[in-house]
Amino acid sequence: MSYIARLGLILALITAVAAGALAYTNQLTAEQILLQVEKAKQDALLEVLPGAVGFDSQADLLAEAQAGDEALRDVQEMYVGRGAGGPVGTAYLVTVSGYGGPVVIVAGVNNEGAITGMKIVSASSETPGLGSKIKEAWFQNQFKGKTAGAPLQLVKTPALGQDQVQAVAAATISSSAVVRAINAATAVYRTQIAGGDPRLGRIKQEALQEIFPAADTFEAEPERLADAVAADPALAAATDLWTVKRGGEVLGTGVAASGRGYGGPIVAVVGFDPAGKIAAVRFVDMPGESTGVGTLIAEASFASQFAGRPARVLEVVRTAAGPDRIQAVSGATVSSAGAVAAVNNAIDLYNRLGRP
Amino acid sequence: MRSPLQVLTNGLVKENPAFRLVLGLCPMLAVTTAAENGFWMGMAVIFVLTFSNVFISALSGVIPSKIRIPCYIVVIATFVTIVDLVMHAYLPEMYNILGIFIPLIVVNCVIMARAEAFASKNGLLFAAMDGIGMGLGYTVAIMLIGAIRELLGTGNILLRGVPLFGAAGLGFEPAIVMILPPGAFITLGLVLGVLNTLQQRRLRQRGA
Repeated sequence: MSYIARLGLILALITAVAAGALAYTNQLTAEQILLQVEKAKQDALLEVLPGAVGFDSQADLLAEAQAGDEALRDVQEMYVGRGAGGPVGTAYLVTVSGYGGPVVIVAGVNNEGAITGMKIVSASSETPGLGSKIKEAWFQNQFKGKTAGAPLQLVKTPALGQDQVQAVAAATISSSAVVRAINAATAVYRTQIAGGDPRLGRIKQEALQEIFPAADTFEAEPERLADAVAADPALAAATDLWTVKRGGEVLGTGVAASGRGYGGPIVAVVGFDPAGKIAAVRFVDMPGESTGVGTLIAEASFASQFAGRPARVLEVVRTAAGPDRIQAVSGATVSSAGAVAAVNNAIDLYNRLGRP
Repeated sequence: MRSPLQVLTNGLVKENPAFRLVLGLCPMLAVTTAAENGFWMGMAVIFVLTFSNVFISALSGVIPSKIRIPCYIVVIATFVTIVDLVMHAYLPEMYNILGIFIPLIVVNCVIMARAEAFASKNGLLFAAMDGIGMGLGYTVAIMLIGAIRELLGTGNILLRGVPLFGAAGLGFEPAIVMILPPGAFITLGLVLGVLNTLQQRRLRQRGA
């Protein structure tokens, strides 16, 4: 007994000392390891989205896209790249399975919908000399400048079209893994940003012109908006801020914000006059609302209710009305609530910034 | 009585762990797709081998023979984990390439064999010399295999990203099989064959 106990004690002692030494080493290196992992990712992001100085994670946008399409689960992270003068585009981190194991890539897409670059962060399980050739510059550079507006196609001959990429010879599986990853990233771009950015940007401007027919300039103020959102993340639903002018005279303020509707986001453009009242509201995008039911929120009978209201939080009701009450579209209560939420989000931002 | 220097050179040539003792072949075959991989793998092995040898030699009076194997493994695993953490923190690229083979140094028979056959029966200095010598011998061997495979398989050798023979390489069509798993067996077999032939020739000359 005492002999066995002695053996156990010696082993326990050695193990305890070893554990202590490892705990100490871990403490020394843990921060550096985290830093390395983070730095590798940052470097890759900076490389694929030139002009960006920082990256803001967009977990919500990504989760929304994935809820609608299971196939997008490969996309692990999504960022909006902040440049000196506003967002320069979006970047994605995607993990797909290649020939021998996971292949991790990052890709960037600019505001014009072109792929600005892609980088294979890790492909350590691909066959050296064959699959690992997907890391070669000629293969990765092929993606630069290609459109993010449609899925890319892998071909075994030299690529001809804007949507074609040539595979690495004898490494079709590894090559197609990369194309699959890029296509997942651009699919997220198409559902969340392309619907959102260049096209919608124009529609928002047109809505603003409708609200302020006399105006001739709409000064976008991304920095003021970013500062306000940074100070209070609850304001993140507001996506645009404009100062509306004619000549040098300020006619009012425009805010675009979204709210959650029946099947997706509802985007409202809200104009405020200098007295702090709502000039008018336009609902410009509602991809998830049922046609002929939820989409009725865009009709004047609903949307015109907002004009002339003070910039105070509004409430949606089925009947009656008061200064802070908006009557829902019959049969589309959820869409109406989403529309009012979008307007309320715009009002919140407007009130937070102080009236001009 | 041997001198510490003899113990050191013993591991390099006469009892080279890879070529003469034929130990530790698993990483030898797996990570030798490039000379540089071999170098860092070798550095990791030198570190683990030297420190585990020293500690096992120092503890040889304390460790009862009945539980010596678990004790050796704890000591070895500790140093391997230290290498693993430090490499992850400061050499992230190499860490990605060597991957699983760093933790697997724990079960590398070179280290266990030196602990059992040498370190536990010798003093601190000799144990340290044996660790360094055996580690260097292993490094040279693994780099040699890596260099041969990389040169024949890719047409060039990369050191810290710089091609050794210029950007154009040596101008022959690389034999991809050399950096695939079969290339490891082919290279190791041929190298062992050449070394054995040289050794036999030397023995015959001495005999004649």
